[in-house]
Amino acid sequence: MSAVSPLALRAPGFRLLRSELRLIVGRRRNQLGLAVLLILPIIIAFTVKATDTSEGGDFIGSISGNGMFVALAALSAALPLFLPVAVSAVSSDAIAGEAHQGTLRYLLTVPVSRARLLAVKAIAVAISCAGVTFAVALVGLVIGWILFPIGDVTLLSGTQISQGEGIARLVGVCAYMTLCLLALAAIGLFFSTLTEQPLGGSIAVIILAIVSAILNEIPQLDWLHPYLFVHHWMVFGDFFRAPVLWDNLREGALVSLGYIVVFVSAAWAHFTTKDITS
Amino acid sequence: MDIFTKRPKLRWFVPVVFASAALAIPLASGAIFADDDTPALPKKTAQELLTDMRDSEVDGFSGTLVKNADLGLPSLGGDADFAALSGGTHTLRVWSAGSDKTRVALLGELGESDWIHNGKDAWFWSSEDNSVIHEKLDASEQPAPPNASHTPDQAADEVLGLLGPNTDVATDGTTRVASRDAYELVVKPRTDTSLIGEVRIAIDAEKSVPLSVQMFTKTGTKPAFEVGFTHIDFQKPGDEHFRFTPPPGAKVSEGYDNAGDKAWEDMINEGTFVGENWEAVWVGNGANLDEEAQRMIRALPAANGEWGRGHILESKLFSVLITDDGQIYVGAVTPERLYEAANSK
Amino acid sequence: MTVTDSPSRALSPEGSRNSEHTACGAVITHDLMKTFRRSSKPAVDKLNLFVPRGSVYGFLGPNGSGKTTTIRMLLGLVSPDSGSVEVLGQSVSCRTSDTLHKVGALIEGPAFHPYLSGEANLRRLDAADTGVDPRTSSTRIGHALERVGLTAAAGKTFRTYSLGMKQRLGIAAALLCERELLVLDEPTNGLDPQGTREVRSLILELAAEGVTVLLSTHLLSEVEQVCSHVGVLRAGVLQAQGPLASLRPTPQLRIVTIDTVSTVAVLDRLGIAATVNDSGSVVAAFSAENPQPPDILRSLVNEGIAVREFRIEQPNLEETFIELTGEGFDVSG
Repeated sequence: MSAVSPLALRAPGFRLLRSELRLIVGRRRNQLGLAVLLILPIIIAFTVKATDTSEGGDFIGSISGNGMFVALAALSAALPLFLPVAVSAVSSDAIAGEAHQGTLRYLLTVPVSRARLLAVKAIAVAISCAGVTFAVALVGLVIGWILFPIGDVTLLSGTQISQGEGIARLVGVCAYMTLCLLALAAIGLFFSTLTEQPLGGSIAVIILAIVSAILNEIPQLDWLHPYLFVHHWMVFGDFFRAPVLWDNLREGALVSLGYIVVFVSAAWAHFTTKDITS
Repeated sequence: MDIFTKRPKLRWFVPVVFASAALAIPLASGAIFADDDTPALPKKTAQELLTDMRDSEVDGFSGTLVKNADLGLPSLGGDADFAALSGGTHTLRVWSAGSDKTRVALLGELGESDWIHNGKDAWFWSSEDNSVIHEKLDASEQPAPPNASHTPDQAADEVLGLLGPNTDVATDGTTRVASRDAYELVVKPRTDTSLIGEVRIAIDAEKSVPLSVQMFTKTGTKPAFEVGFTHIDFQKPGDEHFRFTPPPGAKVSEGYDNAGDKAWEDMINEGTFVGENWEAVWVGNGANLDEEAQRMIRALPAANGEWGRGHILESKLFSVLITDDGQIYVGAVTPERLYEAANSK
Repeated sequence: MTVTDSPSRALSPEGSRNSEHTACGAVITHDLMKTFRRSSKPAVDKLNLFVPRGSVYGFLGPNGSGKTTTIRMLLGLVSPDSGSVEVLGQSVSCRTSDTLHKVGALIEGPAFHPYLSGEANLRRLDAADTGVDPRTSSTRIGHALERVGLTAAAGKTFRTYSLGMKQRLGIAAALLCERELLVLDEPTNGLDPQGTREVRSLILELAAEGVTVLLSTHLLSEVEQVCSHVGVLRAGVLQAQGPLASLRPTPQLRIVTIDTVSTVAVLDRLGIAATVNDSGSVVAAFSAENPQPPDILRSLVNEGIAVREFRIEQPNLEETFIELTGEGFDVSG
């Protein structure tokens, strides 16, 4: 089609991935969800501007000192519910959406090998997870810098770092969050191979996220907490300590990787052997 | 891969193996307390350990420690607030480079409270309030962080201060704390009235400093209070960890505005002790407690005896008796011991 | 008229009309078995399908008889419990699907993304195919759309398509690149008479090009019009299979006369075994080897038999199939 696209993107593997991403981005529902997520930092920025707040947890208090914190405040506000909902919707749609529409049987008879289709779907979902996280941060950064000062960044520990290093740490936060969300996405992908109802899979993922958030609040189950993916989500704040506290981040990353490996391989085991009757 | 083509259902083997591996690898952050390794170390007597500990000299260290109090009391306050340290689980980072350079950071979810002592300055920073409290110190003054017993070191000091004739001190093999080899010292009160069953102190085999302190009640199998390093580095931390300048936009106040704390402090200082060591009961006058404290006291179970009437607070590690005439009795002892102290007054 | 820039064509220049291939089947199954979970009866029971190369094979059976399950097994969507499937000379399983590149399929009706245009839907399917040259993508898509008469509606979203247009797009998808085998499940479903005619002539056109067509249908007229071979499935069991002509029942000779005894005698002399049926007519199976009807009639007249009615009846194919499928074309359990 377009003669300008780089040659590499013409490679067979990329064609399907590109088509997949276009499908995700083109969906009205996804566009709406993204819009809601991107409005979040704008709401936070204007609220703080209007009320002239200089204190409060979850990075809200730091916004008036540096606009960059709009991005962090928005991310921490979106992490418990909005981002998981978005991720669950996209990931459980991956296979189940095609099955529901009946397009799965046509894709597979093109033919596309099932493992390859799953891999392309997984990569597209991963790109979506990263995209949505970085998009929230970027919009937060831009609106924050329009409304609030740019300059040295005050860490949670009270010490200051340069704006450049602050951005680098923000990128670290986004990368970590993406990894956390990918654990959820891997579960969503697995559910997606089990059902032909994308909404059902999506609801199951959200229920799972909520249940593990509840379990994480029960002190009697503290032995279980390290195994829960949500347990490690909020430690992204450790990027904004002096110095960065890597212990929990490393642990959270490992747990997320564990979920990803287990559920992606389970999705592979099931999807490559199941009967496609949709 | 061929076997997977012939027997497709065997593919389930892959996720199952991954899942088992993930579950088997211990990921627990509090793994130090579950660490049951017993490294082979040269035998040491309890006395040798105590001497080593007293003589130990460490230039400085930095580390992360977890403090867990399960006193059977409701947890109060936010988790990044030093006042909250009385209950629940908390993570702290500590840097120490000699007696005049200390930084303690209490980590909360997306929040942090830091206490920094650097020479003649002490700073207290709260990210949640975006506030800084600054105190100018005399050269000789040794300030204490806002809440005592923060490090295993300090906790161990307090426990060892209780050693007396009615105490058993013994070694109990070796253990591993914060990935370091350690001896374990067990301190056991020999009295019926103490609530404390035993105290286990893990002492670093190389540096002879306490790495963790665990307090057990007479009946409990889990420690009612524990503080221990999850990570420790005996390298002297650099000066940058102790440098603090109030960030722009923060509310800075000079000295504690501690009218409320002052009343408490006075009351504590005016109190006296009845009994010794493990059986010691602190007695003070609580007649001046504010209305809120009074209301909380009235909500406690009532008690009475020869000493009169009052209210009793029982927790796993300590008891408090507040008599109706305003006397307060506190001790790591059974309520009976408090009544006895009240009777003898 | 055919697409010449497809690499698949270059890779297999021999085509299916080649004599050595006509002997072997485009689709061969051996004792194919499939029982779904939650079901006690097998959906497909010891199926031995043989679709000769170059044939238009009508796969007939009532709804629920196992046609779709069979087709899904042919395409590697469902794995058989036992038995084997060979498509275009290669064994098919869920894992190896190289041969499927030469197979175009319409399975259980068309299915596309509703918010994409017809063309975008085809582009998506083409993007998924690693065996085609992306540079020829637009040409091939354009050609496929043209063949089914959808060029004008290519830019409209699939959602706005009529049932017939959807069906056409499904066929276009099956024609995206050069195929050796087309598996078409109810291809004229939902089409108006004009569309039905167009699709049937398209099938014949493709067959003339040498493409083998496996046509699953419940319409006998469709089978009679386009198929060279036929297989009849009933409750998962293949009832009959072969060239369409072989399944066609023999025509019947029917003579109405008062003089039935003489008539039977005359016919007997001519080598035709006849009987008298309930309504008093003389009936006999009539085949090509028998004397021609004018000769028979002349013999009868010469004997002085008053023939009131003489006809060769071509029995309805439908009756044969109702016989084969037992309960007719109702849904079988």
